[in-house]
Amino acid sequence: MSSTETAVFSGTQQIEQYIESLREPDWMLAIRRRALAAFNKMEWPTTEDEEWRRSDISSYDFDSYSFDKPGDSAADVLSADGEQRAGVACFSDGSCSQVTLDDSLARQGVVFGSLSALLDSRSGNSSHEHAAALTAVRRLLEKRTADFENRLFAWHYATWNHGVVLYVPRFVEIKAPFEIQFETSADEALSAPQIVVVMEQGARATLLHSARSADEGEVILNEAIDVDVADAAYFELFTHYDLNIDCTTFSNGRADVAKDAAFHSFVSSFGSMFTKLRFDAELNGTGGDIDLDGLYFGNQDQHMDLRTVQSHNAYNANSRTFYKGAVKDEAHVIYQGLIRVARNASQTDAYLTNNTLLLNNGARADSIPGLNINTDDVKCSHGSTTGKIDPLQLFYLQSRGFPYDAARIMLVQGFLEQVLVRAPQPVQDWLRELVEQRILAQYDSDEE
Amino acid sequence: MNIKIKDLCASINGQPILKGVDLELNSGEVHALMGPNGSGKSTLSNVIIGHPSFEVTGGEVLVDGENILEMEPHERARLGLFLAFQYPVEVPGVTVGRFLKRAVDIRAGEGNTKGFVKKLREMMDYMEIDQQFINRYLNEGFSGGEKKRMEILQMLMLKPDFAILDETDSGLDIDALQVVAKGVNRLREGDFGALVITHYQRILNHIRPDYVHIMYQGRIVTSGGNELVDALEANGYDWIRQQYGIEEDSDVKPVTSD
Repeated sequence: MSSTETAVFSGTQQIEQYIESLREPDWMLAIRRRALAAFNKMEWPTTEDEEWRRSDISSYDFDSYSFDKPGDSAADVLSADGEQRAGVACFSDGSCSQVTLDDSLARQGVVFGSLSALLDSRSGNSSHEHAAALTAVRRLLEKRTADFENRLFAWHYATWNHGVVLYVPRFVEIKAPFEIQFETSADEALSAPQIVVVMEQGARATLLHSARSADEGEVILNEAIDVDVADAAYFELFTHYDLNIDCTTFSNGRADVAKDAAFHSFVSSFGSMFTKLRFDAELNGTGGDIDLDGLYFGNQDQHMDLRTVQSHNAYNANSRTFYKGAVKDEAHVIYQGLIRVARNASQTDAYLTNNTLLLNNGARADSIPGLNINTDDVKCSHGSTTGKIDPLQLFYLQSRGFPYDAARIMLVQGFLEQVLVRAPQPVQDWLRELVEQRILAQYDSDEE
Repeated sequence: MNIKIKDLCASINGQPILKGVDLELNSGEVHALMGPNGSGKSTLSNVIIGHPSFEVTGGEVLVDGENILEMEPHERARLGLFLAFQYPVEVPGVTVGRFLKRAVDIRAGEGNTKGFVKKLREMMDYMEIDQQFINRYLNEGFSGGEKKRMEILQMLMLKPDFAILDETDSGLDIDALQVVAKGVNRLREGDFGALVITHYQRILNHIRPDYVHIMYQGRIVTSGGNELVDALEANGYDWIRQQYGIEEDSDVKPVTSD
């Protein structure tokens, strides 16, 4: 990875220099240049923009962040559960520190690993799989960058500096999950990972992804996740964000889901002072099915803005969104969910649910579900609740001997458990433990 | 365990419900508390356990000489008190197994719960509760009868010294009633006491009380033995009112004939 100590990554010249230094195929460089041109023309999103109304980034000095420099963070692989992984890719401060891929999968044409390596024009890899993956990645990224929705988006595609590709050929079904880790220990750094997933017809796979940081160091994560799920394929994506309290997390995800295909995303959001996550799932074929689940826990003065879009562009498809979280201290969580139904998408079945538990008086939550329905004969609904722990549940547990705090902890865990059970099986216990740790830590610090 | 309730007065939302209740209970004894709807039976049980919605306006509840009214609900549970709720709340996300394990841990002290799972399965069999309920969320989607059995299962697992059963019989068919009674009678073999609150005599055919108390308009109006149950059965609650010269009270709902 080429980067210099003094690189500044929102200056046009610096980004230009960076792009020129890369040995990527012309089409990728063209995407980057188009992104840069768009970046130059656009302004940063402001609170005048509906999507950013409650998330103000005007105080950021994006010029002060350079690319992450090599640090000494060591990725702590989720596969601590001891279960098998189809492949693992770890990145420390933007450089790839580990890639593994099950041999038998490689033989079946599965491509998994560093995106930069795939795109490196010097690699000389002329295998059939490599070419297939490259073609698929190109098609997806070109489609994705046909226009840039906002400046962060354009910034990302001009500057992405590390990433992962997962390409699963037709009818290859993979039971063990893939896992990727982005770790950073840098300071005042931009980390811009790009994840590209292509599931060909009838393929099946699960990807576990986490972005984490060292305890200190100020990092802006500006990530994009681009997913293509072809006819009758199935893809499950777990994403976990847990950067330290000085960090900022931006992530834009999008999945195109074709005929009879299914996509399940589970987002787990814990860290960062400022988080803005967005996932758009597009149902482009009849019989498509998407589940967007989310679990979040905000405390201190964290700001989390989570957005999901369920776009129905085809007849007879299903989508469900279920986001659930707890907020403490002065934290503020905003959930915006949209169900969009195109004119041709009759027989749509879509709902979204958002429930937030406020653990004290200073915590805030805004839930903004929206429906944009342009046809008849659909079943769409949404529901959201924001509330405190039910005093009658609390009393019930206390009457069984649970002290006040223990009762509250159990109720918060129970509340989150209802969405946690929807996480991919291999991470459930791990996530359950993490939730417990975080909630317990909260109660311990209250006693001090 | 000795429980002395002295001149207990309590209200909800400023409305007085208990107007001077006097009652003495001991472990080793089973008491029945009968009375029409609205007489204050449920309020009494909730106040003893420490329900936050009720305000104690006078009197005391002494457990082995110590006034418990200032204690937190969990401290009362720790003394060995238990309430089988009339309307148990649903606790989504918390499985029966997890809940009971923690509750038993707290009651017995961690590390003293060896054989928990075996015991739980045994008790579930005894209460004719399907083992699948271990992984169900507590009371969520349970039928009325399943909730009542679950209350008794909790009681069997926690082994309180004294339990209050708040209309555990209401809404149960005869089979469920027998199962619930079986659960209570199982503990009765030991040094266990219970206050069985009901307004039917039905459950008292299965759990024979040692003492019977009649509550009316926030007071215990009379106490005795099983003959009281028979008299009520024969004459209804109007008989109590005439017998004890109680006038209709505007803040008490009219008595329905059962």
